[in-house]
Amino acid sequence: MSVKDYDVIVVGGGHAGCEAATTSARSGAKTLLITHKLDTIGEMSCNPAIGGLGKGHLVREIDALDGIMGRIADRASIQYRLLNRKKGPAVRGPRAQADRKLYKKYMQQEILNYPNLDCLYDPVEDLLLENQNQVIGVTCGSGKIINSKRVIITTGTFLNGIIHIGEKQISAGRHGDAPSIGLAKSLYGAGFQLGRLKTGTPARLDKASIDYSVLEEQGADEEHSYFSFLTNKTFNEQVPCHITYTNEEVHSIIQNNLAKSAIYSGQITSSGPRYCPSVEDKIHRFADKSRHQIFLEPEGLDSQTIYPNGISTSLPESVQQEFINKISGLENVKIIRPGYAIEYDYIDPRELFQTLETKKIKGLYLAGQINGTTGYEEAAAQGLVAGLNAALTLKNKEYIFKRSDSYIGVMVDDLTLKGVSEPYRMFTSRAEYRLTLRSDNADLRLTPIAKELGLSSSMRLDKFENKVDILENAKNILKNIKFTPNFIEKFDVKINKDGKKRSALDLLSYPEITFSKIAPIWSEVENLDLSKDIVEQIEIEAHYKGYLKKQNSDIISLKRDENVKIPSNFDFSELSSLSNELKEKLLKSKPQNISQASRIEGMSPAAVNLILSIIKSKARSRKIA
Amino acid sequence: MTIYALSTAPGTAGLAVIRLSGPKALEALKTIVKNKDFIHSQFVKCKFYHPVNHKQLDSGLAVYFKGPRSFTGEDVVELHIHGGYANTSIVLSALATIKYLRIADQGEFTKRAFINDKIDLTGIEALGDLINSQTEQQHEQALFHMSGSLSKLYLNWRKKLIELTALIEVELDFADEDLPENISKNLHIKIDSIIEEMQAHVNESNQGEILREGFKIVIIGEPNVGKSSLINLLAKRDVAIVSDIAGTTRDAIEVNLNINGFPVIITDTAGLRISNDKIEKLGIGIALSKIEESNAVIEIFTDPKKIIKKDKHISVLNKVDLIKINEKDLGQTIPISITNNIGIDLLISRIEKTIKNYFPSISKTIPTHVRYKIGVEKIIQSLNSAKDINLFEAPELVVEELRTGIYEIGRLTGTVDVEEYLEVIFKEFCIGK
Repeated sequence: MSVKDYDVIVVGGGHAGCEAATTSARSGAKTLLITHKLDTIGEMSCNPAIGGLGKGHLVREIDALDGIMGRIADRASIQYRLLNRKKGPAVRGPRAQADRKLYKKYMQQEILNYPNLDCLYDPVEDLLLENQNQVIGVTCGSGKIINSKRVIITTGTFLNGIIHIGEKQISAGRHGDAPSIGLAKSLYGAGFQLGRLKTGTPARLDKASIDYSVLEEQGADEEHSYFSFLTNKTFNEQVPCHITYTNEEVHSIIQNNLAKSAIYSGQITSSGPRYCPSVEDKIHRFADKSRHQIFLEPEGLDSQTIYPNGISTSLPESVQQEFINKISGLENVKIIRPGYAIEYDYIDPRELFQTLETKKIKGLYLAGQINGTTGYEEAAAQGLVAGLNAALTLKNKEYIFKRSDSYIGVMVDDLTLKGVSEPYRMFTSRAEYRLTLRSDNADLRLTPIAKELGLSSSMRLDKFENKVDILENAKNILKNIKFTPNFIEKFDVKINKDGKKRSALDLLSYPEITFSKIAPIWSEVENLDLSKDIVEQIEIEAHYKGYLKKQNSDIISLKRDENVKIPSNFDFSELSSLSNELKEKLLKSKPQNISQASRIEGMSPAAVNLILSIIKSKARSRKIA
Repeated sequence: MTIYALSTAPGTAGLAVIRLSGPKALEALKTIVKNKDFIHSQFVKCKFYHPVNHKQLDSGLAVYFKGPRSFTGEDVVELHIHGGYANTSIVLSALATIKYLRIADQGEFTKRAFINDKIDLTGIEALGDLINSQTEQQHEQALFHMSGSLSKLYLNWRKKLIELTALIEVELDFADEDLPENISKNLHIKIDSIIEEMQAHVNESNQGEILREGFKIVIIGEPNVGKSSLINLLAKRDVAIVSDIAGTTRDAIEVNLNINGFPVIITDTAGLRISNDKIEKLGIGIALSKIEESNAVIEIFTDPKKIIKKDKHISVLNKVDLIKINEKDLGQTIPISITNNIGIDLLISRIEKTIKNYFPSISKTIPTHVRYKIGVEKIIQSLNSAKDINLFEAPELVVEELRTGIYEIGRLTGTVDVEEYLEVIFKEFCIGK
């Protein structure tokens, strides 16, 4: 039995799947999203928060490309916080606690009403291949066969997923979801390089049983930093989180029961994220720390569930209850659901091109946790890349995000080049051009690209272009105002009295000089009557001016290296003078240009030159032939 | 490809060494000897035969180094044969008949060692210096660097800077975590201690230049006081060996000497006097600029009344056999007679002392190349900028400066993009053959 055909099929309705499906549909491809049931679309399976450092940057970038995550997160936000607010603008990360139910509701609304996008609720049982190297469709549990030359798999931790609660083991994907065995089999059958990872969640607590009177409170910022460049208001009431801590008594209970933890009993051997250890790990590895912080995050405005961030565990249920009850404020708490650790297989992302298409099977794309990443934002960003590129193949095009244009580019490059050894999470320190890749300028960086790719709605484009016009006009006016140090001194602005003329824009690069301080000096500046975000943009650019200039010249040389492509049939094993270890790394990552090659660990410049000279000599001999 | 080349200088000599490197080095060896067993790094007595006509070519020793425990990191074989043009070329042309061997390009062994991470840029430069070294002190310094003393120093700084950066990064990327307070306190003290080490290193570059280029001494004095005679005499003395570094003849006459293991360049100049002659004026101009560049000056007098003692100068009174002198008036001035070879030993020992004052102790990590000095100065600049930035308001800019410093160190040791240097380095030295 066959139903109608689609240009692109997306399997899975998590964060990667939703973004992949909508991006594909937005790019003009007739798209089908297939998932078990409508109810799982837009599920936040881990903690109820979106954004943060590096992650908030990703959400802004997705939004700048007219993706959906930022807008939905704004609809569901119940507590906005801009992290690192007091530090420099490049390292500020917008973050929000999200109402799990609202997020799901608005996400489902978006997906169901998205133009060019259909949904089907049916487990995907098998991948249909032609010649074992080209996707031609999928078979569903109901027996339906759907034809498509592009399939994006975004099924998270379903590959050989095992949940551990103490000594108990349950075979599963997410809690309560049946793992789809058929699809897993066909992925294993394709011979991809696999790895195994683990991650964990804490117990969920009953809100009514918490004694808030003894707890520290942390509320939302007074001024809200939205994710979406389109959002202009706060949709929901803002509620606080609460903070409590573990203590010596808690530690000794955990210490005494370590042998019962799946992680310590030897039951789990795979590696988990270093930046998000289980409470067992924290206590065992940092024994000298007398307490560990726990954030009590509300799962929603009317939810009775609290997510205690910081105590993920795979201890048996009874031990979880015992140690949690020793925590201040949680003495009488009821556990709604115990914490657990989950182990799963991931596909080595070095199996992927930077379009997230697999190198082995044409038309098969992978996005999200299946590639060894963690986090909603990382998943969604990959979904966008896969959805975009799957759709672009209809026009025989591709778009590769670059390390120099986005965190998305940094992530895709890291994944496909270096692979992962722990669940990959975005950090701002991963970006070498951090001062350029800010969350405040994600639209300036990426919306023009969205326009070129036909990804953006006209409403967003109008708004964006209007903003750019105002910004450029204001900068021009500031640039053309020149004055001497003597002139400006009268206004209580102190600069070097070197007789040099400066522009009003130059003035803003001084740390203490703000726009509001200089605007009253010149009527043409004051009359601009700029909005807050425009002023902020001008100030940030002026503030970072020298550094941005340097980064820009670094970016130019990076782009030069990126433009030297290594042919896909380049035989790295032919490089006899390289060590076997390096050859193996090259064979695994298959760098696609010289810039990538030079970033492979252990790669010396001489080795890069060797590759370069071979490419050049081959190009020459081709020309002669 | 497996490569081979004569590694010793061609010409008449007792012994010659041919080196082979590459995956088939051992296989090649086995086609020209009858011995079967070769153990890593052990010499084996062999007779060498032609691979095609099986005629005996020579007898000697062969040694096999299994990669990666070899100079290049690949399998390496060395044939220690008898020297001489005829013998070496017979063995080399026999090797040429083996299809999978190819003669090595200039510097190719070293290039392979670099590619396989057996040696870094500082090591390669040191190797070039070692082979080109003319004096014992140059040799010793090159040996230090080749053993990695310089890259160890640089990598240690790199490690320290990465650690400092990490301390700031942790507060940037994990701002919402319960971090201990003041992780990055004492940052300035730590940066200062690195700057101090780096500054001391840069200050040694003067010594480095002397070791590489030579200690520069200029002989000055009025016309006909015996400047040229002195330089001729010094050049002929056994104690001061004239070295044969190329390019010694310039406008001013230069002689390269080895004094106590240090390379010394002595320059003769035009006599200093007020002159109306155009050419002589030019010569005097050159003499003045030589004085400017020099590390020491020997000023020759013949009239004791004219002696003026200057700080940098070693003053010498010549022709003491012809004049009466009052010992008391001489002070530090050395009385000599070039024609009668009087007082020359005293002069040489004064020169030795002057050089020693420049090298109170010789560090193992003197920056012998200008690019080390410039590179480290750039890092110091970044670190100073890092200190000027307010860590609380703009930690990301502090990191930016530290990252620049880390990147610069990479350029020195060769862990990041150094293309522009590589070209020069592989061209500059002629080794591996």
